[in-house]
Amino acid sequence: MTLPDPVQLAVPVFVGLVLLEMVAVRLRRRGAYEWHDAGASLALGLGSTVAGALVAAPVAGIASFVFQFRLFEVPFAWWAFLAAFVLDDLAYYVFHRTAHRVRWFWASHVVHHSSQHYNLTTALRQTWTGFFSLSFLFRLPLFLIGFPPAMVVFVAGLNLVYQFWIHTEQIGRMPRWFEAVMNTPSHHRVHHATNPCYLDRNYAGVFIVWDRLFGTFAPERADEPCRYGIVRNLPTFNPLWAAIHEWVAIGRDVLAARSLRALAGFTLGPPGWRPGDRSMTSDGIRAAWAARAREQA
Amino acid sequence: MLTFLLSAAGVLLLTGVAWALGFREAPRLSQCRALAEACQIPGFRPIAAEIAADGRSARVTGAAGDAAVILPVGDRFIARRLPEGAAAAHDAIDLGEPFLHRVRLGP
Repeated sequence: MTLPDPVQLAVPVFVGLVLLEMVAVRLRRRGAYEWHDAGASLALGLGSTVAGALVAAPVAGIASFVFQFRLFEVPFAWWAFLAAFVLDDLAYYVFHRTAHRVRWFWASHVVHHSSQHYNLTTALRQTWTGFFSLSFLFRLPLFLIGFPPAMVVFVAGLNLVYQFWIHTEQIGRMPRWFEAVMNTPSHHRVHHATNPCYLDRNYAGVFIVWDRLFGTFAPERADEPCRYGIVRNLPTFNPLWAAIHEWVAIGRDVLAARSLRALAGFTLGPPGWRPGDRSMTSDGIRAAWAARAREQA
Repeated sequence: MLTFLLSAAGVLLLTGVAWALGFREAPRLSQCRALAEACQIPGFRPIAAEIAADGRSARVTGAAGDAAVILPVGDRFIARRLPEGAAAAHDAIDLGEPFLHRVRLGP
């Protein structure tokens, strides 16, 4: 069965909404754009589609290989699409959480967080090295269950399309019932923020219920405006550097490692890990912030 | 190839629209902003900031006798802790990372 590519179909809508948001930012004085930043985000988005096309064949090959060992025969029925969509979103949650907690995966994902702005172009700031980091591993269980690869690719595309509109400061809060179940601009602003109280929270793709279930949810607070970016923001808008800077840093650290433990820590430990020093990890930053808050109280 | 070229044209167009709409501000640092930026460095406790005359960069002194610099990136800033024994504010400073090998604070 051939299914359309939701992302390709949505591109004209993406372009229209980016233009609309730019005008809204100008008129409402809410949110922000910077032309170098927008250009870098869009260039990274374009590069990610090239990278995706280059690795499409091997990814399809791996999916088909795993699909041979499926446990069930899942038909192309509406309920199967629904189940695939929900389970794919759960797989995305697991991937996304891992991508923030394990430096190997963070090296690929960091590019999406490397802008100090939060607007619709940020949504398009996507990785070039996802295949290299093996991020496709997280979707393999769906093929093992028996969801056909075409169905999984389709629902994954829908998931990506959903995540576009939540990258904006133009929308405050959605209705309460929606905020309770779905990922929203408010929840995702928290995810992109580097404020210690927001670090490593709200990993959801579509359904925020995963964060509520697994204890990683944090609401946006009126008294704590989001600061976007990464703990050590990039000094340049160069898209190539944004795409590879963490890989270069891993390479340097690995070459300097003096023990197997250090080698493992620099690659599989949390971002910011240093031998005997956790002050630069998100847990360390959060702990220092909490200690300082107690001191001041 | 045609799709790629069209997409590249789209990237240029949207970037051009952002420029034309005036999203190219270069804000100046205040004392307060410089200290707030330096606060983003984990473990750094800023106590005083020396703003460059052009208002686009600053040198910040920390409570532990350490120091940091605040540098402009578009309409935002980045903060970096200064290596021990780094050069004086108006000399080129090597922060030991690409794009920051010869950092010069403003006049």
